[in-house]
Amino acid sequence: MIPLAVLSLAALPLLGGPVAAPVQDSSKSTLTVFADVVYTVPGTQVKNALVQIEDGKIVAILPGRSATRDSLRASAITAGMIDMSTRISSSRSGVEETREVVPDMSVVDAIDPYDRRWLRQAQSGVTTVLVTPPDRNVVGGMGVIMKTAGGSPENRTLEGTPVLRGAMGSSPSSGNSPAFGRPTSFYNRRPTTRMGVEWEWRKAFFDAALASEYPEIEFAGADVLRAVLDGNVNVFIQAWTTADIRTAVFLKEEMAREGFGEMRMILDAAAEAWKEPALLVRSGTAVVLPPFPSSGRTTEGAMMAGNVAKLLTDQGVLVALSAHGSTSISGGLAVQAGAARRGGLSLDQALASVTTIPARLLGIETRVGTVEAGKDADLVFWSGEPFQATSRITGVLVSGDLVLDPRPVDASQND
Amino acid sequence: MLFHPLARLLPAGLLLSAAALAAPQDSSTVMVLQAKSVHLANGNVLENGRVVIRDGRILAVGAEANIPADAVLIELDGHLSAGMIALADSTGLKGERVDDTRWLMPDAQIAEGFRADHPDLARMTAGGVTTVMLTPGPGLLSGGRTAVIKPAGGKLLKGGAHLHLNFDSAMFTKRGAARPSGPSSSPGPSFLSSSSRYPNGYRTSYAGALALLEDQLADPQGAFAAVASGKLPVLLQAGTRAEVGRATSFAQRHGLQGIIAAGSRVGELADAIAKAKLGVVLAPFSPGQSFRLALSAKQLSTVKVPFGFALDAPNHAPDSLRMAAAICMREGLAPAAAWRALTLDAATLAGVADRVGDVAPGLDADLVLWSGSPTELTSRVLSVWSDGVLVHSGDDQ
Repeated sequence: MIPLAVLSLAALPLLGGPVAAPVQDSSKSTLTVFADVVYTVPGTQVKNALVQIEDGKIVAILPGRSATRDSLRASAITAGMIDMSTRISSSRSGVEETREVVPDMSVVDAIDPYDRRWLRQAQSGVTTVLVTPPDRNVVGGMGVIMKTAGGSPENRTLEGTPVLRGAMGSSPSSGNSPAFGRPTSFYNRRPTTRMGVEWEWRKAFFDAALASEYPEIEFAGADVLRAVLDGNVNVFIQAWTTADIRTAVFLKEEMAREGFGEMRMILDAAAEAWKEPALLVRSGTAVVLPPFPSSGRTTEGAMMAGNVAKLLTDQGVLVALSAHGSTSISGGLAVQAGAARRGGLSLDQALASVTTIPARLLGIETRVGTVEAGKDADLVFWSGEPFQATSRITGVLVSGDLVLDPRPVDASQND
Repeated sequence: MLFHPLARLLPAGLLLSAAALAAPQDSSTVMVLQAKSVHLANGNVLENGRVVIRDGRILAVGAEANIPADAVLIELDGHLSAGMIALADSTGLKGERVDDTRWLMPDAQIAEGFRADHPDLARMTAGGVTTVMLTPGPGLLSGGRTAVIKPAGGKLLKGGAHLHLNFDSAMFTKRGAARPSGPSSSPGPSFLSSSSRYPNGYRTSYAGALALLEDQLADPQGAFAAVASGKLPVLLQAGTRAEVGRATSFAQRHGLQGIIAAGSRVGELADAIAKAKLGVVLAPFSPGQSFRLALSAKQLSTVKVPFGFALDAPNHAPDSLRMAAAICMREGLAPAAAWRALTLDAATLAGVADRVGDVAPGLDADLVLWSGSPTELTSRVLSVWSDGVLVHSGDDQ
């Protein structure tokens, strides 16, 4: 890892070159990157391309060129990766546990822009993430879509489709059963079972939908739930097991049957989605897969094999991959994409599952997800074919800023 | 440990006029202290300066200050300055800093829990600390109002000086009687239901805490009305840079005035703090203290954000105040700025600059006699006056 201070110093000679007139502007103003192959959008490769960047945006991709003296170089370039389930800012103070359903809260108040994990994410090739409250509540609150680098949280935040986070399964109910006696007094936090979790979800949506008729049941954040029913806010639900996936999809279908509206539902950590592909296709529900387990078993006892991404993609389910915040050499998002390839996904499909699909799900596809003129200059530099076990990430740009410098460290430049 | 015998001054090398020894310690007596130098908060040093004192207040200051006919002149072999001021402390409040039966206690007065006869107060006086701001403990969203006291005699200088508002994660984790199991205790089965863990207004998240504060200011009543109108300053407590950022933008959003007590990297947000026109309370010096504290002092000073130091006695000796200032000077803080942080700026931030913080006419005669320059760590406290009364003398600090 190269300290940022070194990077900014090292970036200066790049612009003017040793003999050219001194360039006053920062490295951000203009930049060119040469790659043997640029994976512009999944399915399209441009050979020997120069990518021109101005003020943090891609302005042109020129094919059939050669590297200039000033350009950064890579064997291959892809768009920056997007992880919808990074779990940064996932400490308990990121979710308001005094109520079980808090659509009026947002994780934005708990984000620590100084967390070192941001830079680690960026340097592992993840340039955009969705941050959500940790799953201690049934409805845990609003998430926020952010770049992993580039200054203050406000500057890094992307306007997309808002995301409301919640959970099925045992997370929201764990620890709620009293040590003795029955949980029947108002001192007890609900729920204590999966049934109770499902009941909280249904009650929240029913109350929100019916509040116009019965104003006395209006509650804080009901407007957010109505926006979910109107399809203006994504609902992003953790559901590891088949039972939880079915519960979530049935909730969506029940609300549609009641005439309350059609939710845009995305399931997170849907390890066992492979058991219900037809249900997901029928309901138009997308999934984010958890990291591929080494032994087949994941959290909550959910089973997940290496071919899950392939199986679901073939059935027409939108699949995004996640590393759950890992940036390790054996668990980062690039490794997950490689595992999905090993499970049968093509390179283009694997690339889509970490770029264009999450961008589309989050409604930020006009900004990020592909290497095209007009898009943010979020680029990952690879030493070989992307996602191969033998390929390394050699450089990363976030909004045109180098967060991982692809050039070999030259001590003489850093004095 | 309070004592008055002037005879104790003699070993410290003082020359006393016969009149001084003879004169009764009558409050109406005019006393003139003449020292080798008098150090003012603006950085000026008056050689052979005189301080004229009557009724516990400073009447005049200067090398040429007139000595009234009935005055007692005391020539001091040392260097005179204002007493030091510590921001954020809990001396005399053991176990009484937080009333954790409710999470929001804006009307709690820490002054009510102050023990004016606490033995630690004499240590403060002996260390040259003549004014101290007492602050509520960390476990609540609002722990109540600060108080400014004088350790010598345990006098209350100003009660209800600030409204304490918390942005530090400690508000979620500090255990109180009302919260037997904190919300951030390790995950896994807990033996108490969640609701009984969070009674009486407690929240478990930054979002919940902020929402509660926003509610208080939406239609402000009582203490919140006073802070919203700028009549009552706030003491914002924050730890990490993220918390400092949240507290600062909250203050700016609502036009709150006051100070922010923060962790060692607070200086990295100096620009935002300057924009919000807040002052800063820096953590006390501790062994192993990060140099970032000292860098913070310099960063704050560069953008003219006033700051003072916390003392947190009895965990820290009174000398840690000067130690903190010295470490900051080592990182480039000007000595004059360091001294201001220990006196005038601290007085301003505590809201008592009309009473203490400098050697100037009209202010309380809270003075310290040093063996050398006050900002030199090799200098010792020789004598201390509070409200014109000698409250410490000798080397027994």
